[in-house]
Amino acid sequence: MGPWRYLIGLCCFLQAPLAGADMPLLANSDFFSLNPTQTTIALEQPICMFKSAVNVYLIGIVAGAPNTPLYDGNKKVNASTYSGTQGGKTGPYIVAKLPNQQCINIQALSNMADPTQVQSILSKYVVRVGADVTCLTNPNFVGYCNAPLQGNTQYSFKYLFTDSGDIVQSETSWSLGITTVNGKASSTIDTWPGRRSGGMIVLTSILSTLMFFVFIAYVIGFAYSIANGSPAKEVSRHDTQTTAVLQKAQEPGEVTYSSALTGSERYAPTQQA
Amino acid sequence: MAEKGSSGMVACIVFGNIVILLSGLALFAETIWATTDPYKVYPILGVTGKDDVFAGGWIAIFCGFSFFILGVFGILAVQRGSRTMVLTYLVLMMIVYIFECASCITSFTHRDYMINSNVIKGQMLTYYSDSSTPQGRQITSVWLRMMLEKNCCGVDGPLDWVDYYSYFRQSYNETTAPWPLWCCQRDGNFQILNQQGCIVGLSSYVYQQGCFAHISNAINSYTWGISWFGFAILMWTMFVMLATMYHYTKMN
Repeated sequence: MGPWRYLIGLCCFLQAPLAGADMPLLANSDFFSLNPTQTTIALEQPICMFKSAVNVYLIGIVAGAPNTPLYDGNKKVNASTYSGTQGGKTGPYIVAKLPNQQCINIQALSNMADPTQVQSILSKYVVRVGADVTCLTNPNFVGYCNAPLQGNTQYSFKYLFTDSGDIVQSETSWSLGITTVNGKASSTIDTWPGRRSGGMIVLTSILSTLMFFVFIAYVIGFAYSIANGSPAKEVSRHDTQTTAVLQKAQEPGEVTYSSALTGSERYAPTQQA
Repeated sequence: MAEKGSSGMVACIVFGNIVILLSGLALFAETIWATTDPYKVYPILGVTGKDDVFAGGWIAIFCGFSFFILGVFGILAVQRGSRTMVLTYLVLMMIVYIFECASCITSFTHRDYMINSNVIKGQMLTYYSDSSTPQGRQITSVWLRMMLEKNCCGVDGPLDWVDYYSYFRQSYNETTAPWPLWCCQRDGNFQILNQQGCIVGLSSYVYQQGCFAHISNAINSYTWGISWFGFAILMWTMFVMLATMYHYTKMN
């Protein structure tokens, strides 16, 4: 039992600072893989972090802005708003005021795969910073404006746990810096094709070479046939051909005519003879 | 009129031409398939100005049919033993050969330009959802169709729309549409499963994979048909042409 007591003691010792070091975290990246974007950041809501609170204030600030107090001497929340701090550049602002979720019926995030449950799980477990695009321009807007964030800017967040009278009961520490995505111009994409593919090199070089060889073969072939065949042979061949044709035209013609005239007569005697 | 000793050569040339005419017919058919663009990716190439994959395809249609005709003609020429016909065959075959070489090289060279996700990504970001220009309309319709049918998003995934400014980003703010809603998972009736889940980027409501695999697959199939098949025919044709040339020199 002895060692266990020390272990428990160690756990209690660790528990205290760890509990104090609770801070807003990015939503589970297993499910929210595209987070953060240029203007939005999805954070986990502080479920079961401080059970007795009624409301939770999410405070945001741009890294490096003066950290003005979030509540007055009576611990009443008096932080500024998005428009009052230029979106967190001049000090912390209230991103949203959320009801502190009951620490019961915790649902697994994997249930979000069910389209009928995703809405309720999202509203219960996740807060999306930068989710309201109209509140800045809408003159009738009441409440805390959760306007889109700046791109390529580092933000920190903090939760304030209050009772129903906005009296701060507890708070988390500031989160680590979360940087929104730096949107690049599409013209900065390098479209240089880079190295040619091996297939293209093989195909082009082989085809060029083959064409060269075929061309050479043609030149040699024609030259050979002209030099070898044409000057002497072809002329003589044409001569013989013409004479042959002439002979053929004359001789068989006569035969045909004669046979046509007296075919059977001439044929019969020949056979007899 | 051919010498008696070359009758074996005649048989070889006839066989070679039979192969040429058959494969010419196949090339004809295959390049018609490629130029009709069954994958519907032509605008992606056309807007970039690198549509010569298809130019190669058109040339190959002509060449395939010419191979067919010339194959028949070559058989007749060699069988008849006519010097003039063989000469005509050789000259025409050379012309078709050169054209087919051009087709193969053109097609493959321009494939190399387009098998580059950055080119397609830049083009998508520039033109997608731009309805004011014909290029924009073409690219938009291609992407709508592709993302819907192939269940993909962007070139390399939804982050393409987040990492870069785009025409789409100017038109729609990131809070309501960080990526086109065509990237959202849809049910059997093409209804978005859950838009809220989609725009916060839940992996089960957004198509995570990009469309580049589909595009490159399409372009590669076309190029394979036009270039490599043409290349194979050219290799074979070269031997037949050389044999015919040899045969021609022996004719008298």
